[in-house]
Amino acid sequence: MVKKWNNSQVQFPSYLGFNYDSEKFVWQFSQSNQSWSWKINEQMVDKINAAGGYVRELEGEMGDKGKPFKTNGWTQNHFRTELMGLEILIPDNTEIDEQLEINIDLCATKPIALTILIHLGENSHLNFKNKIHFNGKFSNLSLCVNGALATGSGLDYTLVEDSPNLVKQTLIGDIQCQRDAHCNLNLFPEVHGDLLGDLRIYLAKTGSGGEINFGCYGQPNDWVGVQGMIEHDAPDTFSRINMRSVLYKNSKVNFTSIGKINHGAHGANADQESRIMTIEEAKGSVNPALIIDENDVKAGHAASVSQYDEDELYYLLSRGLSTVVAKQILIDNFMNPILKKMN
Amino acid sequence: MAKLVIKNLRVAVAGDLILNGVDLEINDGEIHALMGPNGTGKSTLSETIMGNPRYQICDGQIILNDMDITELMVDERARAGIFLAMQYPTEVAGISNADFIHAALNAQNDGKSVPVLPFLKELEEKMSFLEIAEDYADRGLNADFSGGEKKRNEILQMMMLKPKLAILDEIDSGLDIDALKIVAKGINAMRGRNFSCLMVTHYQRLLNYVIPDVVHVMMDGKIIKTGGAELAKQLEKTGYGNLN
Repeated sequence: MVKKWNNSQVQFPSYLGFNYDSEKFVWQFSQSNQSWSWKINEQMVDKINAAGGYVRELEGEMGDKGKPFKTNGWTQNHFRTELMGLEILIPDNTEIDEQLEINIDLCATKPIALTILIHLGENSHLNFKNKIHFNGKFSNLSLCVNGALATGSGLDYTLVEDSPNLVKQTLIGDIQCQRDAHCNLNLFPEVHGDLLGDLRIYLAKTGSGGEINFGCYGQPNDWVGVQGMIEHDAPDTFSRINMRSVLYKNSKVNFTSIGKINHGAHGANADQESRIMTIEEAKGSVNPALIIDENDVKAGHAASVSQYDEDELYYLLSRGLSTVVAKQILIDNFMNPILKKMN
Repeated sequence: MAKLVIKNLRVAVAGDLILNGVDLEINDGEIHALMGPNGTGKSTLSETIMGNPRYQICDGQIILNDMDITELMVDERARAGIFLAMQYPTEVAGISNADFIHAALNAQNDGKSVPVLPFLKELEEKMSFLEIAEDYADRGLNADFSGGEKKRNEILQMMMLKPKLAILDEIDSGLDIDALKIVAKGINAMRGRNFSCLMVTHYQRLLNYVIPDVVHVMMDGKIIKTGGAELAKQLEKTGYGNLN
């Protein structure tokens, strides 16, 4: 029995008055008859199993699987419903030296909700690349990536999506880090349509750190609204947020990045950079924010919305490259800080 | 052939007339030096020949090998054989030096890919000739290069692209004596009937290593004096004041 809730009754997290029209998005519900499949390198499964961990399917399970961020009502409600997706557990003191790569094919025809749950034990490390291919005819996707990182653990999570169809997607990332745990969230959803995103890393204990790297290309008619927040709730914590997008024609992308440093998180180091390159009539906005309730911290931000650099273009043209090729080089150059994280 | 003819060139920047009737002729295989005080229009002339859109041609003609290139776009001029070594080369970290030069050669080759192995071999030889470390081929274009390294990299590009006409805008500025000799070695290696060159410089010292066939002096947007290599030596002693 699918338990439903109406997200119009729960407020999507918003900061400092930035409104992303979340009412246009409907958080989906898992349905056991949805068609999807996943592939993983069997050797990696063997390694994880041998260490006492697992990678397994969530199929219609409910209950206290995730530990959703306390202020995000959408994820809290999500974890009260039946879950569909994958759960990965890496036990204490386990170092997975190779990259875990999981390819998910979504062949659904109806709206779909997918959950990726990651539990890292103490002093364990995982480099996880998650590719999602949108092969079905569905028009709505809700994706929730939830992680709990125990003391001294490290997670490098990279999400790459591709879709030939128009999709309305809601993406929620929600990672909590304990003492000296570090998380890198690298997200590159190459999906056409509308995307609403809320990405958070909560640095709960001393010495923990987090990085959010988000990149996307805004194709004609695309709408993207993504906010990333890293909350420092303990001393000597570290965070970086990097967001980049290239916008074509009438696409629209809005980024909000928030470095939140709570009282008592002395020695915190928070920095963020959000940049948008616009091509033709595209529109974008970047909203960097630092919310600081502590004195002894380092924090900074940089933001820009601009076209390609005319001097750089001229230099490339002066060597005979055509305008098309030269602009593509500048676009690749602009996205390079994010793309290299994906590799 | 590598012949440039400029006739009565008048150029404005942001509404201000900078070049006020420049006439210049560089014949096949000649190396010319263009000298003059700061702010007289030397870089404006260089950028205008290259086709920088910030420089508005009000009157005159630029002719390369009997082809009027006055109305051509920057990339079209480059593919026609013009190369400008810039005073402040731009950094583009997202493309490697080698990939960039290969892309430029492909552009010269009507967009068809130049075979990679011979290209890499030639690149290695030219880099060795200019005493550029091997790893610079894989580094981002001019990214984190020192001023001298950027200038040397401009000469490397020139040697790989083999233009008909190279304009070297203060290629000697910021170079130590060893780097200056290497840059000069690169320019001299290009000498030949199919290569002509216009060197913009403030100092005689570059001309000690690259002997020009012709020296011009520009003042107030015009070429006011032309002579042989001895003119530069004379200017070194007397300055520009006596020319007024």
